[in-house]
Amino acid sequence: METKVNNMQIDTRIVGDDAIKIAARDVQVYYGDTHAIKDVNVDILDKTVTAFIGPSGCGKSTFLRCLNRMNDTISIARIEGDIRIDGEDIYDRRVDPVQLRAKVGMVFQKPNPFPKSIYENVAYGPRIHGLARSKADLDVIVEQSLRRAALWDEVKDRLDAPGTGLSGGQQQRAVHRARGLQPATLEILLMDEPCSALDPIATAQVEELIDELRSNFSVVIVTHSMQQAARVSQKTAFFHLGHLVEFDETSKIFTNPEDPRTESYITGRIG
Amino acid sequence: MPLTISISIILIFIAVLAAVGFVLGRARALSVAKGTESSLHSLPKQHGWHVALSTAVPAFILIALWSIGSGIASNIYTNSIIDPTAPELQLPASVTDGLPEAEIEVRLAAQRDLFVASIKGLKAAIDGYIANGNATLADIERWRVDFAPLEARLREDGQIIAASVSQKMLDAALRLRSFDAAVALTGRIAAIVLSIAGFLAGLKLITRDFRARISVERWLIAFLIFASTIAVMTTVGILSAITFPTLAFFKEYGFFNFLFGMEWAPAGDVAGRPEGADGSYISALGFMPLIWGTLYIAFVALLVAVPLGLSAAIYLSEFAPSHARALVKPALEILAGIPTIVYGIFALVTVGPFLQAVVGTTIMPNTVSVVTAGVVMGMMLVPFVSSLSDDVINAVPQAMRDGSLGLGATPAETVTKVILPAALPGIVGAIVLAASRAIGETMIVVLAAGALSSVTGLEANPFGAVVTVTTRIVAVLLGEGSGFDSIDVLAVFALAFTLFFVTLGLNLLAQRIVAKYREQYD
Repeated sequence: METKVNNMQIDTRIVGDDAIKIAARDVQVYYGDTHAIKDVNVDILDKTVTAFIGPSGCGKSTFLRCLNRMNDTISIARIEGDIRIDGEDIYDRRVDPVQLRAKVGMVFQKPNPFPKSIYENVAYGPRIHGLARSKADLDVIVEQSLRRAALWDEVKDRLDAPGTGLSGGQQQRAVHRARGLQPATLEILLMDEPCSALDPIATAQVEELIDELRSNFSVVIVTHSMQQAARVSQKTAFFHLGHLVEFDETSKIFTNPEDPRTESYITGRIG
Repeated sequence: MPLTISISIILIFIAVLAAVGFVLGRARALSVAKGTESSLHSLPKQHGWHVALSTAVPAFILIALWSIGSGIASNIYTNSIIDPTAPELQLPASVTDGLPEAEIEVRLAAQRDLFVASIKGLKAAIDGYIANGNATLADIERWRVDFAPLEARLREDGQIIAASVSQKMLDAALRLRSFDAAVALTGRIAAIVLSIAGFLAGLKLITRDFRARISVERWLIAFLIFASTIAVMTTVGILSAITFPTLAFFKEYGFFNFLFGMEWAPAGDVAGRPEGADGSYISALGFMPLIWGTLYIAFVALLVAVPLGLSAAIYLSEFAPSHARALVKPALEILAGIPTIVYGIFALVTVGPFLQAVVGTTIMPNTVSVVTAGVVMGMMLVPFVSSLSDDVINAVPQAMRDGSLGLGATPAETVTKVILPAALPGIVGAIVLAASRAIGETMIVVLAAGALSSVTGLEANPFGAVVTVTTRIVAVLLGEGSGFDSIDVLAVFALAFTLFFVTLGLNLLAQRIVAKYREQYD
């Protein structure tokens, strides 16, 4: 554990540049009468993995969904405060949420393959973003992404079979890789408990992938596994009852937290 | 004057006894408990219920069974008292000559059935005559000697009796009357005795350990099972009621002649057009023109209902803000609540003339047409399609929408590329159900599809009038000139039978599709 944390520190330094990708100020979220997120201020850096941890219902997923306006789809949700990506207010009237989500992608707890073939599932993102000019282009993209997900050999003979026929781990790999990497416009990737339904081997593969993504993207991951947060992230934010209690270097959070609540959570006393 | 007890008095007596049983049962349970209610196995209230149920339920069951049994008994009795040498039971030699033995048997049996039915009819007429306060039983006894004035009086009173009544028939009818009265009286007395016995036994059973609750709950479950069986038995009953006349029709007219016949011209509707060898008109009862009209209208209706209904469902479930939803949903429900006859009137007086004004009278000679009925039926089906589709679209997991939107797809892309494919089986199920309703729909087509009494071939012009299965059933059954035993009426049973199977098939298909769809996401 100790060596791992040290590695993380080194990683952070290598990534180096402290370019702020997402800046959130005084964010409040209400679901109807429930005040779900209270006064959250956070700066998320580019080319860094940031982990959101905290007990169930603490608001970490809710906050994550604010970052690409996925809460727009929930009619009773109301958001106050200021969230800027690259200095631009994403809740400005002129911002097109569809364009925003092309830049700030999101993958979910369940891989939820669409009711289409494996090929069409992988090709979905590239298609809607017009990345392929021809069928041949699309074939190349699909093959590339499946190869990088180490799935090509497993599925190349049944690309026309339904996506629902893949195992959970296969789905998760295919979905994360294919959807996460495709759009040329993508800059930030939000992951909502991406490994909660996976076995340890598939989890390791996804974590490896996250580490790889860091070289090109800013990654924000919500996780219930503190080990996972320690393994993959450079920065960690601890949420509790809608508050952002503590946000710091991952190594600091897990070895020397400042807030007693953080310490209680990571040592297993609350949560 | 023999003793009669009216059935309503019996029912009231049993109900009152049951109510008393409830009160006494509860009081007795309380006294058995001697102040410590918790020492009883069941609550005092449940002991009360047990007494009430054991008073009423067996007695009611007896009454129900008795009324079925007494009908059978009176049939057997009538058959036993009739004189086999009565002239009404013989066939004249001119008829039996040259007929095979088996055929004579069949005809004699039919003759006998007719005679029995006449006696029962006469008995019912006398009952009615007395019930109308025209005579006492003593008067009737006097007429036993000479039935002629009675017959005249019965007819004058509006009672329906057979065309020819004989002294023998009257005698049999009067004997049947007293037999039926005796059976009914016995049954009613038995019911009273049974309810009193149940009442006393129920009270006697009450002890601390008696499990009244379990017994009461068993009765309750039995009742629920009974209620659900009724629905199943009704379906079976309807099916069997239409199956036998249908088979008789197929035997007489020919199954393939019916199914593939291209002309529909029942005799009742075209009286005065003799055609047969003996100068009588022979009904042409081909199914094809009717099912063609039915399917044509259903097709037009779906052409209207599916795009509109599906679009409304997509708007409501995916895009509508809550206040629009609050407005549109109830409006659609109102549309669904309009009686179909009102749609029919709308089609006849508004849509038909409008269409005729638009397309001209050369193409559309009448205001009634395939399109008139189809468009209005389509409007009727819009809420049906939209509410079923709304359900299946809402059942598509939210995760799938999130997944698509999270990739940067627009809401429209999400709907067309993800949600509709996912909901497709359910939507197909909804469309099939709508088709089944369109085929069985009656009131709109009766008013707006056309009322041709006979038709040959298939009408291709969508602005032409057609006949449908349901309109022909209505026309033949309400039409004049057809007796209930005519082949035209038998043909109606065949129509109903075929319609039943078409819609049953469609409903089963829809259920299978929807069930398959459910499996996918549960």
